[in-house]
Amino acid sequence: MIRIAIPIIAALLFRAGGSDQWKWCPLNQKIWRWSMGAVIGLLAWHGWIAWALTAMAYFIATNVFGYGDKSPILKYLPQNMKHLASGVIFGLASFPIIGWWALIQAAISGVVFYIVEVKKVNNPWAEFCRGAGGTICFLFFL
Amino acid sequence: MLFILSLITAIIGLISVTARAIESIYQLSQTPNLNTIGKIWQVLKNFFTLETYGAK
Repeated sequence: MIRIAIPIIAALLFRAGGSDQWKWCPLNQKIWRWSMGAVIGLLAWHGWIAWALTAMAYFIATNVFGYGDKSPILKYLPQNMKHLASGVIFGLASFPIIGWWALIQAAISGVVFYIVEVKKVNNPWAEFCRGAGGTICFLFFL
Repeated sequence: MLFILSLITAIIGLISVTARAIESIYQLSQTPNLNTIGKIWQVLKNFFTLETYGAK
């Protein structure tokens, strides 16, 4: 059951952190996305060390390696490549939980981010697909 | 290979639809004072509403 819940919750958190959906929340909206690793780490419990690493990995993936125009590192890449790279790193963030399967997750995630950007998929589906595609391997390899 | 790609696409689609359904129900809180039929209609409207790409 947890296997199924993780990608759904990840998709919701990714979405919540991407727009003004939860206007009642006084915090920075992005915090929902930045903290998704802490939630995933709890659901896919592998001990405190794995939890801390997961939380940190997803925070870095969504904060430092975001695909937005203000992304501190990826902003130097072309638009489509920026999304591809962001997706790959988002997928790799699952490494502390699923180990080397994270490489497959990174490939899937990168392709999903890339297709969503190239096809100009509209929100909310774009953000749900990114969140779901970036955590789909938890269904199989947890 | 094609089967695996189709499976992955279907699963991502299914997860996205589920997440969107949850969000659509959550968004009911933004339109209070609806009867049961109104709530069902509003959830459907929420579900199929798209945001313009790149718009705030």
